[in-house]
Amino acid sequence: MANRLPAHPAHRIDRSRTIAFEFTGRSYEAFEGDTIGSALYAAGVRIFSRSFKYHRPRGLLCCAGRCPNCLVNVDGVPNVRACVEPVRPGMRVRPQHAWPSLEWDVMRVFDRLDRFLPVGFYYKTFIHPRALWPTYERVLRTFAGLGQLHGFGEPEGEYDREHAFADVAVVGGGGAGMAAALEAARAGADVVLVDDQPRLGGRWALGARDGDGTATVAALIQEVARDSRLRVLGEATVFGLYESQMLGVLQGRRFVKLRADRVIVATGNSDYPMVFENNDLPGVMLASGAARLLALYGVQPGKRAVVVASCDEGLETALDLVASGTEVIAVADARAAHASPLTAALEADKIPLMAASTILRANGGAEVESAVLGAVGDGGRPRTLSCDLIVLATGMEPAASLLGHAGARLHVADSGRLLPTSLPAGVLMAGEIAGVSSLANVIASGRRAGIEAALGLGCGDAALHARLDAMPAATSSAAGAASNLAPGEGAKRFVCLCEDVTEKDVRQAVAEGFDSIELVKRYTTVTMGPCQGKMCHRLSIDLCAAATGRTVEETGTTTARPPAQPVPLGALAACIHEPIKRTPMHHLNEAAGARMMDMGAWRRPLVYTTVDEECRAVREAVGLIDVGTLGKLDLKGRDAAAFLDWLHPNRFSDMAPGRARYRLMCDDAGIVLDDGVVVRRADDQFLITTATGTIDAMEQWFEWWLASGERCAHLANMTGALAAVNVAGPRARPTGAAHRHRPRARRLHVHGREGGASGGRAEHPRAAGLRGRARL
Amino acid sequence: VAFLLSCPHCGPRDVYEFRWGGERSQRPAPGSDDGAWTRYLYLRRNEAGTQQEWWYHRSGCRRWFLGVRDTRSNEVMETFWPRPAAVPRAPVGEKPQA
Repeated sequence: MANRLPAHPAHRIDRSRTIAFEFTGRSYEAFEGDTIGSALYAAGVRIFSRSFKYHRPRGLLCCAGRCPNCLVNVDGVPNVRACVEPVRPGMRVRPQHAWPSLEWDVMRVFDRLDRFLPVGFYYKTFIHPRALWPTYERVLRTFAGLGQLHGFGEPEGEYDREHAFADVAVVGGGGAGMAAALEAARAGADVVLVDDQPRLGGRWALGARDGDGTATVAALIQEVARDSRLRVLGEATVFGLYESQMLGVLQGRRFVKLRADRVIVATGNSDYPMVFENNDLPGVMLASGAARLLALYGVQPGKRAVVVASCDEGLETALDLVASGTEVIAVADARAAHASPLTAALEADKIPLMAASTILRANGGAEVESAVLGAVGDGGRPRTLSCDLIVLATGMEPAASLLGHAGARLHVADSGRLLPTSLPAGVLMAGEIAGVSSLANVIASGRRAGIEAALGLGCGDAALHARLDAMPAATSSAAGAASNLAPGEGAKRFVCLCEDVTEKDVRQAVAEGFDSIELVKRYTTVTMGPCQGKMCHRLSIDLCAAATGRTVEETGTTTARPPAQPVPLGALAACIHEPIKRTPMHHLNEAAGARMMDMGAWRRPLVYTTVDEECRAVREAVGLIDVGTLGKLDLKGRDAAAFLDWLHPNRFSDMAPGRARYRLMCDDAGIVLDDGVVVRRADDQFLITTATGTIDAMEQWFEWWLASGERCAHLANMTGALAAVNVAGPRARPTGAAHRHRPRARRLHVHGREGGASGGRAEHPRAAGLRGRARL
Repeated sequence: VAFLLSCPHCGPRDVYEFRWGGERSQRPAPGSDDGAWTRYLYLRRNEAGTQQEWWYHRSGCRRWFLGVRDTRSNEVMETFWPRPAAVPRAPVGEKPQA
């Protein structure tokens, strides 16, 4: 296949096995281990989706399932992230949000109409005349939304749910996460390590440059694999960190609710794009995305690349690209000219390094054709370089949304990054997310967090305390970040790729008075798309700060809420088990040939013969119905009679044992809650019936009034233990041999009697229509 | 919500096992005026802060108990059984006045 590099042991693909699948009706081949994204990219596909509002072509950007650029429909399931979804044989992948095709989308016309579609144009345009809104709405609906559901109830496969528990849960299997998990396990804690990749190592698995970094990471992976006290949840995404350290985890089709006493978040950094004209063209890729294509799938991201950097990671990516055979035309580094081993290596490879430079715009129709580079400040003459790939290593922020769920705040660190602070009790962080850089520091930070978590649980001894005290404190050493807003102006400088929000839109929102970051978010919908701000959170803050003349600290941040990563609703609804309830006469009903129906959780006879026949039986003779589903409470105790009087508007204490009386239950405000019958079984014992649907509420109601314990009465729910039958019809009153116990009371329905019919066993087949067989 | 609640009988459990029974309030004595009954029946403090409230362990021991919780953070400070003296009600046998 074209664009594939020679085999390397770090690659996740097995070149001996190929898998055929379909995209836009054409057949493609992938290697086992490929994602849809890596296989299609290797085959030369560059356009993966069309954007939300302007229908602009979009291609792979993050290659890590974080951005919205590769959402596709797989076998009818919408909004699947192609860059992380493994290829399965025969899967049918279709583009969404494009017609008639990805390459030629009619709606692309919106891209030329942008001046008529400013931010908030719905609210401004479609309010007059008001009566027309339903019409507007109908038309707008056809344009809105991403992906299509094909009806409800379509089987999408079973989801499963697991409740898991641990002393310590570690999120992220990079250097810090593995070190933290190992230390906590060594101290005796029960540890679960959650990682979203098929193999541990985090970003260090893509290549670690400092010293023998690769060997260090490999040793940690080995150690984790050997440690039996440590469980690894692999290929599992943590999408939420909730109260009392509850983690929402999605592992394939399983939803894991993981509860831990201590949670260590070691999710590292994640990079995000830069704002310049046409920054969304296919061919613009984050450095981590290019590194993933190279290191995991052996896919060459481009032939002629321009690298835009503001940190050493960019220079490293440039060297990796060169090593893979990509021609690197230029590296624009926003930093001032400086000398380091990396710059020396670039020089040795004869790669032009432009200091204090950045990208001003990208050119191209459906893909990148050239990049315009210029000085960071004003001045200098822009240079246009022809290329097919623009790699961005410009913005890096801690992946802190999980900590945000738990209530942590972000503050601007010396490095300019937004670092988490004021973590809630029971939640710790380690590694790059805490502002630490370089593998050695990251591992040290992880070890520290692991020991702290274990000690907090009461694991470990004085020696462990001493070890913690001897460890050097973690130092924040990340380099300062340059502005991620390129100089210049333009209509297609995108901030939010999910919802096509441009720099112009954000500035317009501020100009219209929406000048707080929370209002900018709600008005422009920036950070509210499928990526949940991973690409645009920092950019929107920087832009809002620039437009209002405030600092980033003054501007503040928006609130992160779950889910941090997309979750299918089916997973959240997984395995809600409804018990089936059967009446004591269920087997008799079945033997009598009843057709059963569901009534809430109950199984209940619907009809035995025909409705007509059963109606006639009740009108002309007698019919029975199994009312075993009715609630039945047994109340016993010295104060039982007085308690019933107190709780009901009517009186029961004057009933003789053996008598029954209608009951009506009201709450304090006089609202009717329930009705039924009370039978006095003895001086101090009553049987109370309730409606089928109110038994739980009634049990709780009675229990609540008994909760203080000042009344001597005890309640038992007898619903499933006692059978009940209603008898109706002109021959309902038992005569002659029809009933073993002749009622002494004049009126049957206010009489209660102990014991079942038919020799004391509860054997009343339910019965309308069963005249011939019913034995009373 | 996902916090843990400690049932006095069963110990700490996922809050989904419980039914929330509302904030604890003082029921007026029989014969109290309409204002007192209106406050009891229809008005809630809706505290943004610490409050005493009722909980029922629906999926466990099926007992009512009281808890002290900060409604802003869902931090539960304390849970305990209601004591007879703590929940004054009309004497046994007495019917409320119409």
